[in-house]
This record gives sequence, C-alpha cells and structure tokens, in this order.
Amino acid sequence: MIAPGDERVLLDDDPAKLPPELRNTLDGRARRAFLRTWPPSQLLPDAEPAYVKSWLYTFGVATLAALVLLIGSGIVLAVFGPEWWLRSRVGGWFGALHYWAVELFFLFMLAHFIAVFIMGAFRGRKVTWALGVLSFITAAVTGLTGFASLQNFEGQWVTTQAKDAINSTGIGGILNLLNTGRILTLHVVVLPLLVVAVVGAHVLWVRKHGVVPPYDARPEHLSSEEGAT
Amino acid sequence: MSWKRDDALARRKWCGPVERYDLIKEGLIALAVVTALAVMLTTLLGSPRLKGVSFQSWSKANPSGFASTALAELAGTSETATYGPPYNSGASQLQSIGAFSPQKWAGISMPINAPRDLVIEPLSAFAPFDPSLAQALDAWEGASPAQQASWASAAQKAKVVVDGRTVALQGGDSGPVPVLLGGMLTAAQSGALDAQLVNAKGSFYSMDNTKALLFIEDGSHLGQIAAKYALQGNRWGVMNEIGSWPGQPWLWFYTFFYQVPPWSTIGTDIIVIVTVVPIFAILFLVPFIPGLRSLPRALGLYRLAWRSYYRRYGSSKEAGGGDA
Repeated sequence: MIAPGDERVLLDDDPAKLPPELRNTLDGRARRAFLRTWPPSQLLPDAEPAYVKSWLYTFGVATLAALVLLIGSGIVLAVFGPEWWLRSRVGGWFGALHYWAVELFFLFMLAHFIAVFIMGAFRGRKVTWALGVLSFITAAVTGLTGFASLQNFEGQWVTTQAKDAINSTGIGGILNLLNTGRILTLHVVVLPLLVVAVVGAHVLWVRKHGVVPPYDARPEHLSSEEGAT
Repeated sequence: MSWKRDDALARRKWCGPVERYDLIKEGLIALAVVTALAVMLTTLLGSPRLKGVSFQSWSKANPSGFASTALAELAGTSETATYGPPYNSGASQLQSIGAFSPQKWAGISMPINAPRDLVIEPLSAFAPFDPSLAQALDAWEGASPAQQASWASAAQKAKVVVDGRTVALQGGDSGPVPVLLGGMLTAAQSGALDAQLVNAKGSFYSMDNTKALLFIEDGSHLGQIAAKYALQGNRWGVMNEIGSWPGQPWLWFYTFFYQVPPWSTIGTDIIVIVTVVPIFAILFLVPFIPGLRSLPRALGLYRLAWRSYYRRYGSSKEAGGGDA
C-alpha cells in the first residue's frame, strides 16, 4: 500500500527510491528509458560543439522548416478541400504555396544530403544515416501522391503514366494511383504521419548522438566515452 | 587514416570547446525565412493550373478519336482491355525480366472487363430514353461471343465517320456497333458520361477514378496534350511539368534511366526499378561499403565545412596524430 502523503510517489529516476509496487510500471520504465537516452539538456541544448558553426548546418533545419510549412499549408488545403483549391483564387494560392513548400523542402533536403555526405556524417551514425535516406524515400512517395491528388490535367497525366511502373512491381492493387479518394487520404493522413515519424526519429537520433565531429578533430576534444552507434 | 579509426573516433563524445546555440531560435528563424521565400515564389510564380480532360472535352475536341477508343473498349482490343494484372488476364502491359514478374505473381486485384465496364454498363443507363439504343444493346447482349467478335472486327476494319452525334462505320457488317458508338458519343458530348457512370454506376458516391482514367488514357487526346507540353516518358515524363515550373525534381534519379540506353531501348518500367532499388540499397549501406564510405575524406571538401574549427584549433595531424 502507498501511504497517504507519501512523498516518494513522485517522478523519480531511481526506482530504488520508490515503493516496491511502483518500481516496475511501464510508464516509469518508458519515462526512465526516454530520459536516459534523451536528457532534456541534450534535446534542447544551450550550446553545441564549436565546429557546428558552418552555414552548411542550416540546410537540415531549413528542411524541417519547409516540412512545417508543408504541413501548415496542407492543413489549410485539407480543411477546405479539392473544389476550393481547384476553383477559387485563394484556394489556388494556397495550393501554390503547398507546391513551393515541397519544392523548397526537397531542395534543402538535397543540400543537406550533399553537406552531410562531404562531412562523412555517417561516421559512427549508421542509424541516423539510414533514417535520413528513408526520409527521402517516404517523402518522395508522399510527393508523388500529392501530384496524383491534384485533380487537374497533371494529376491525370502523372497517375496514368506512373501506374504502369507501380503495377510492374505487383503493388498496383495497394498503391492504385487512379483511385483518387484512396490516394488523397494516403497523401493527407497516412504518408505525412510516416514522413513525420521517420524525420522525427532522424532528428532524435541526431540529438542522441550529437553532430558528427570533424575529421582529424583535436584528440583532446574527444572523450574516451562512446556515445554513438 | 583508416575508416575503422575514423568511425571509432566519431563515436566518442565531444568534450572540446562549445559555443552558445539556440535550437528553437534557429528553427523559428528558418521557418520565417522559408515561409517568406515560399510566399514570394507563390505570389510571383504561382503553380501550374491546367484543367483536366473530361469525356465531354475529349469527345468534343476529337469525336472520331473518342468513338474509335470506345470501339476498342467494346471490341476488347484497347490497352486497358488487354492490359494484364492487376486488371485482367491480358498480357499487353505485363512486365517481366525472364521469369521474374511480380506483376504476374500479384494477380488480378482490380478486375476490369473493358467492354462491359466501360461501354455496355454506362450505355445501359441511357437505354430507357432511347429505344434505338435499347434495341442495339439488346442485340449486342443477345448475340453469341463469336457474333460480337465478328461485328467488332468488321467495325475496326471500317472507316469511322462521325456526323454530329451519329457514328457511321463504312464497310462490312458491324451490326449494332454504330448505334452503340453513337450512344457513347452522345453521352460523352452532353457531359452525362462524366464520370460516375464509368467509375461506379449505381453508386451515389465514388472517389475511385480507375476506370474513367484508364478509358481516357486509352485514347490519344490525353497524350496529345502531354506531347504539347513535352511531358512524355522520353522527355522526363512524370518528373516534368507544363511550362517552366520545376515539377517533381525528386524523381530525377528515377526518370533519368528512361532517358539513356540500355534502359530507354528496353523501355520497361521493371528494368528501371530493378536498377534503382539496388542503388538506393547502396545509399542506405554507404557506411558499410569500403571505398565509398571513405570518399568524403578522400574528396577533402570537409576542410571547407570545418575551416573555422581547423583554423582556430588545428587538427589531430598537427597534434601528432595522437589519440585522446
């Protein structure tokens, strides 16, 4: 039994200090595992290594900013629907904003990719790298479904042309670009969730292991403790 | 320096100099700049807006082309009618590399019977208003498959002459086919065929445009508009876009293979896909591939990225290559 007013019934990183019946809750385990992996000071740091001073590092955050703009403009389009973006001037403007947001998103992603490649950023960060490549693939599929959802000539052309490639892989029954309703819901709900999950994991892994140090960094700047996988 | 050593050193935690950094502030600045840039591009350049093709616009722009496509659907000779999986048991669009054919293995998941789904079913909705059409439909449906094939074959050999909403087939005995095609043309030109009748006759709602889009693609009208804007596969296809808008540059790497031999001469999607998939696998596996994983060090461009660090603190080479 937990005694009334027992002050130990608080969030505590040391389960040994808790009453026995509180030591093995899934909530507590998850909380402790998260805080161990991503301490708040690492998630939102006050400082970064001095080498993180190049403008090359801005492409990653610019990609994230474009993703936020994509989601924001996408929500506006989702609220008012296809007739609005097809037939009204304001709707068309928001459609164009969504369009330019995706162009910028991929442009910054490409710049980020080139930057991290020339820095050999996959050193000691294989999972982060794989999540980055996966981000591109999921985003490219999401982009394709966006064009497939346009419901104008380009939507017709893209869907009828791309369907043969998809059919040739045997997944045409699952990813049927000609089924406008299904592709629209995939584009608006399922795929953005996937992109946000993969990009989110990529960012968390960057925060977990830190930004890759320079080649030939000064030996005294690297501790003997390992942090990355 | 070996990859193993580079990899091991990069795993170590940083205990060197740090500088003030504010992630949220940087994120907010980036969001403001990117939003301003996107708003500027949107306002100055907009985005492409070209109305879609409808049965009505197609049949008015090219009545005989529409009638010929409807005939191909009825005769079962169109691309859709002979496509293969996932629509039917045809083979005209069945792709494989030797015995490797995922398209065939996946089977028919969206059955489409072109004569019935794209012509007979939509037309039957108009039969109550048009006794001659009702009679022609009865004649077609009551005929044996051999008789239907004979009429269709004669119709495809005949010259298609469109006069207003009447279709005449000059030469041979094509039975009720001219009346059926006239019915399709009338329905299309009036706008009645768009698009629910083709997509889902008898259903109030439908957001599945598979049948209507396949029908429209079987004609030449859609492709002619695409050709006008240089959107065909050999002109970078789905990546490209009307006008000078950038389209889908992220598909560049994929559509590139359609432009160069041997992929362009083989001309199937599956050969491009089996090329691109391993390349993406290589991209995933960069940290595991000797040579490739050492390329950034060999290129030396990292010196530019970290030039202020090296200038200020030097490198391990200057420190004698020692280890912490």
